[in-house]
Amino acid sequence: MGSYTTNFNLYKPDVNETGWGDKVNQNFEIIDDELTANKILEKLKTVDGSGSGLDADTIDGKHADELGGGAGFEKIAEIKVNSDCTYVEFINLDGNSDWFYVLFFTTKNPFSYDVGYWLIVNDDGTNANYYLQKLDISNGNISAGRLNTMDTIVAHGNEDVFCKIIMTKDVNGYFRAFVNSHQGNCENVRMRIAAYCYKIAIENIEKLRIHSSVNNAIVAGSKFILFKARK
Amino acid sequence: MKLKGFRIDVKTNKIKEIFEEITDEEYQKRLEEVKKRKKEEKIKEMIEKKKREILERLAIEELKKEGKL
Repeated sequence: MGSYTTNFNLYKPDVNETGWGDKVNQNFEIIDDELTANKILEKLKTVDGSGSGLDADTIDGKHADELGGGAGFEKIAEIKVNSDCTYVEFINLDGNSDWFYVLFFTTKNPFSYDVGYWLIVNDDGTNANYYLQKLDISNGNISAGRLNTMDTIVAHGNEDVFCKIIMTKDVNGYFRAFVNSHQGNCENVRMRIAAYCYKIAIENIEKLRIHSSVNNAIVAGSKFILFKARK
Repeated sequence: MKLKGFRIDVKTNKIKEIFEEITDEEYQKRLEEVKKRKKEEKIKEMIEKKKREILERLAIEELKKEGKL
């Protein structure tokens, strides 16, 4: 007396068995049924998915986390501040690997007097180590200046701020940033374009911080989002 | 004085509320520096504004002499 296979219950005649013709033919019927496209598809669905090795879990040979890397920046951090604070910082960055960063943020100066928002790299809050070459546009007038300061942006009393900063470490190891800020209410909207540098050569960009010159001038509801250039 | 901030670790995506301690003197010093820079900038802006007004006045006078205004 023979035996049956595990998965499809195909009959396996014993070595010396006779008269197994019908049973073998039944085997062929079973196999024929199992090899239809629909049955194969149903079986594949049970093992498809991430890590399966099936090409179905890739597009052009790439997995999901590899897609889009050549197409643009990748978001690496975001925060919507839930209470007033003085600074927001991003740590464990690797500028040597990421090459460029882009930071977008919105905030509002909650006070009636001017507040500066500083971009600090790698924990150095020494004003004299930063330089800013700026163009400020307000009321149709342009004012240019070179400042030895961390005041990346200065918000007038109760001004809303919307800012974009692009950052990198240059070939000689100096931190550089393009700053573009858009401030004020609609009727008094004004703009700053600035080139911002840190004067000491650095090994790497590891930490970035936006710090307000006055305590708690980054209000609840402020949003920060940071992107890096490379996967 | 305690300065409150948010620290985001980009590797773990963890966000922490943190407090940095600085002396009141240091804080006041920072405020004074900001005020000083602001004053210097205001003076520069006043000078630029006056320059523009003078230039505009001169331009109008010249155009009048030329009979264009």
